[in-house]
Amino acid sequence: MKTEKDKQPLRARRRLLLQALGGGALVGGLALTGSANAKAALSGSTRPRQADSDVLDVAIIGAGLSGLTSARDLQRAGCESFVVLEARERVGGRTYNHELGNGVVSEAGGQWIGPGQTAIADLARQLEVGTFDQYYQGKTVYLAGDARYAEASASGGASVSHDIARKLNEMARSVPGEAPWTAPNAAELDNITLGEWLNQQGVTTEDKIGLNMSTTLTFGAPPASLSLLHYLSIINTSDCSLEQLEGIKDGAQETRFVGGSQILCTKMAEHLGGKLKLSCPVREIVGWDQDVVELHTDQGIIRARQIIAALNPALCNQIRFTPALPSGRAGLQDRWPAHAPMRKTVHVYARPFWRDQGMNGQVVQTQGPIIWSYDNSPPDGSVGIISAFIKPGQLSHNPAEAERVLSDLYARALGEEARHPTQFHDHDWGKVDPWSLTCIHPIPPGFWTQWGEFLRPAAGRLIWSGTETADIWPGAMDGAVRSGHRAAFQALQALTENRRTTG
Amino acid sequence: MRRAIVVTAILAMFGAVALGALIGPDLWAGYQFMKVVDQQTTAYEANGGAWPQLQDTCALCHGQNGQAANAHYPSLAGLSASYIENQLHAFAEGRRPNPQMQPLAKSLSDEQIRMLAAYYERQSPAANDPLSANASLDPLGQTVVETRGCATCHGGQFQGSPMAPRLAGQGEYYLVDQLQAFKASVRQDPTQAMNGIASTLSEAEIQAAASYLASLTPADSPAQ
Ligand SMILES: Cc1cc2nc3c(=O)[nH]c(=O)nc-3n(C[C@H](O)[C@H](O)[C@H](O)COP(=O)(O)OP(=O)(O)OC[C@H]3O[C@@H](n4cnc5c(N)ncnc54)[C@H](O)[C@@H]3O)c2cc1C
Ligand code: HEC
Ligand code: HEC
Repeated sequence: MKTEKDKQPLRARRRLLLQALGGGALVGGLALTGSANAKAALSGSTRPRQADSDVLDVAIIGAGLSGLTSARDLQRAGCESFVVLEARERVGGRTYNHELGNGVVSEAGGQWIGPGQTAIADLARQLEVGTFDQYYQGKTVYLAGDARYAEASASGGASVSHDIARKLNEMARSVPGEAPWTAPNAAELDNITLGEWLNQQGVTTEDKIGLNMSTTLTFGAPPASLSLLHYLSIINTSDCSLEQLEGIKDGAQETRFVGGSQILCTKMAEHLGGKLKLSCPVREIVGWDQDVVELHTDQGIIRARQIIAALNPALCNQIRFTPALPSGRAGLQDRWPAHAPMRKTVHVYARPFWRDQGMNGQVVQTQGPIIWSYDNSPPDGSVGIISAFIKPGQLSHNPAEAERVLSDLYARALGEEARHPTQFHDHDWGKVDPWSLTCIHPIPPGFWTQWGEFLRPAAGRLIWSGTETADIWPGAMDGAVRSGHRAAFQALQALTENRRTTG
Repeated sequence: MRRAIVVTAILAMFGAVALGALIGPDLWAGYQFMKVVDQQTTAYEANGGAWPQLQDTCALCHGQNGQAANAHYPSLAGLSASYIENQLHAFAEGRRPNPQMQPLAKSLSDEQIRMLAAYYERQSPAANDPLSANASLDPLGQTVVETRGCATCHGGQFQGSPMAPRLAGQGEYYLVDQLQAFKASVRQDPTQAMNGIASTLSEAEIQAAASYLASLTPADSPAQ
């Protein structure tokens, strides 16, 4: 992206940025009310300030999809005075590719997108990242003890009784995905677990198997610890369709990225050059209520006028804030659930042999380590890959042992060929490092109605971002991109406004 | 699973005997499958009440019935109810730090904590899989636990006592983590006895003691 803009001196570029912003704010009716004000704001920015040459306009914490989207937007708006601080030695956050050789990858973290997830689909098109369909044709195998049963399902993914899904979809209409705590009957719905509600409806044994699996995968916990209000809010964000949320065909598990989801992040990072600092965890944030905020990192102190915290509230809770955050936000961070299990394994085979036998590679186990396995082969099927979501505590940490236990199960489910994978990979996000903690937020009863209102409002110069703050598809990669766009805009807006008031 | 519902309903109506031959291997497999699921459900309900149980959440990390197969996560099976309650309150009140357990414990009511503690106390602990347990032949581990008086509080054979929790058969890396956390005072027990003891252990002694304790078979184990 080398344009004329890149060659202009910094100060002039900042002017461009503010012009662009002034326009946006005018359209949004948010701030600048006339050209006189706009000029005032601009002259404010061009006036020399004392001793602030090392002060950046924006510091972004976290180089996941959200933080990198913000960085990209800032650059596209002409803002070059920013930095991205990333704790790990890599970008991508909860997107991470296992490299399997010959350009083949298998995703350890987020991987699917589906209908309605337009923000991330647009980003992929702009970054020239292709997509392809998740393979699901054929039978899913169910294992219970020594018994094995195979059956094809219409949408390829988890399915729930039509009646229950219909009721849930209907109830979800009145629970806004971006603010479930504002639903008309929020208190009532937040006072009950999904499990309690399901029991009132009466669920069959088969439904229980499907619900245990699907809520653990999609919501991060089984039905007994999830708030009904939260469950409905996520259905709401999925166009009020549980089928769309949980399905493969026409659902949120429909589409994969060629080259794996992390490639979106690596591509965005390519444009950042020295503005991206890896292995640079932020440990403390000082003076977030002042004009210039100090970020204490492992690589020294960074000073900036606006901070975008592009990481989930549980991760924010690992950072020290001086002064202490307002009690509402502090309470939210302190209680933000971070116990969603997230361990994924990869078995690589010479070919996706199960396809020939009419199976789709999906295995569901009623009791045992496998929550759900699926065909994660590359688009051309040149090698066969079975990836699985694993209950972290129910499979040995020892790679040889874990591989053997799973291979035995796959052999029973998919055939003897499954017994000898050519590669095995295992990633337990909860144990590899402290920089994700949880894949998604399994919100318990009583949480949203007490703490929800504190999720998004900025605290001083701190703008909260990350997928959890998205208004649509919170928790998903699409939500991460949306939150990134919103946070960049919010930061630029705040800079303009501050310059107007101080200019 | 919708089709499985149909399958079982049909089989239930006609009676199962020899149906496999009559109506095809798929239906027979479906019937067999549901039979096992029903057995599992009966055992599950007898042990912990109607579906869905709060323990389903804990089982993801702490293992089915509190017996973890992964040495990074503690087994809860057979720990005393009072110990479990204390730890859950310690997490909730921020006295014991852990980013996953703290918010989870905060979300639990006292009644839920009592129920969970009683449930896990009832479960029988099992020995670690010898392939997983790093059953080391290094005599240092045994020497450490025998000479430092660990059994005085943790009970003969390290089966736990009213004073201190069971260590026999606990996850090896979990034990290492805890001893290091006590040593660094990141975790503190009420009397700080464990902090004092852990501070005297070298890194090698911690590793060896954990490996030895993890390889012991818990007394209450059905495997015995
Ligand atoms: C196993 C798994 C499966 C998933 N499946 C899907 C899926 O199929 N589809 C889907 O849409 N979503 C899925 N998700 C969720 C999806 O991956 C996330 O919603 C998305 O990647 C979040 O992006 P983010 O930028 O908001 O946060 P993150 O990716 O978590 O980014 C936060 C960044 O901040 C960094 N960081 C943390 N603390 C600090 C600090 N103190 N200082 C500096 N940096 C810090 C982290 O290292 C990280 O890079 C899955 C997640 C997991 C784990
Ligand atoms: C995401 C994984 C995860 C889930 C889910 C989880 N735990 Fe834990 N739990 C842990 C980890 C990790 C530790 C060890 C903490 C440490 O290192 O101090 C732990 C520790 C504990 C301990 C202390 C054990 C000891 O020997 O001191 C108790 C008690 C406990 N958990 C109870 C529960 C209960 C009850 C539930 C369900 C309501 C639950 N946990 C769910 C991961 C989890
Ligand atoms: C004076 C009594 C005492 C002695 C001696 C003692 N412990 Fe402990 N230990 C405790 C207590 C009490 C706890 C529970 C702490 C708490 O409540 O947080 C504990 C906890 C532990 C734990 C954490 C268990 C868990 O499930 O989280 C480990 C590991 C441990 N001790 C190892 C040892 C070892 C090894 C020795 C000997 C070198 C030893 N202890 C000696 C009292 C003792």
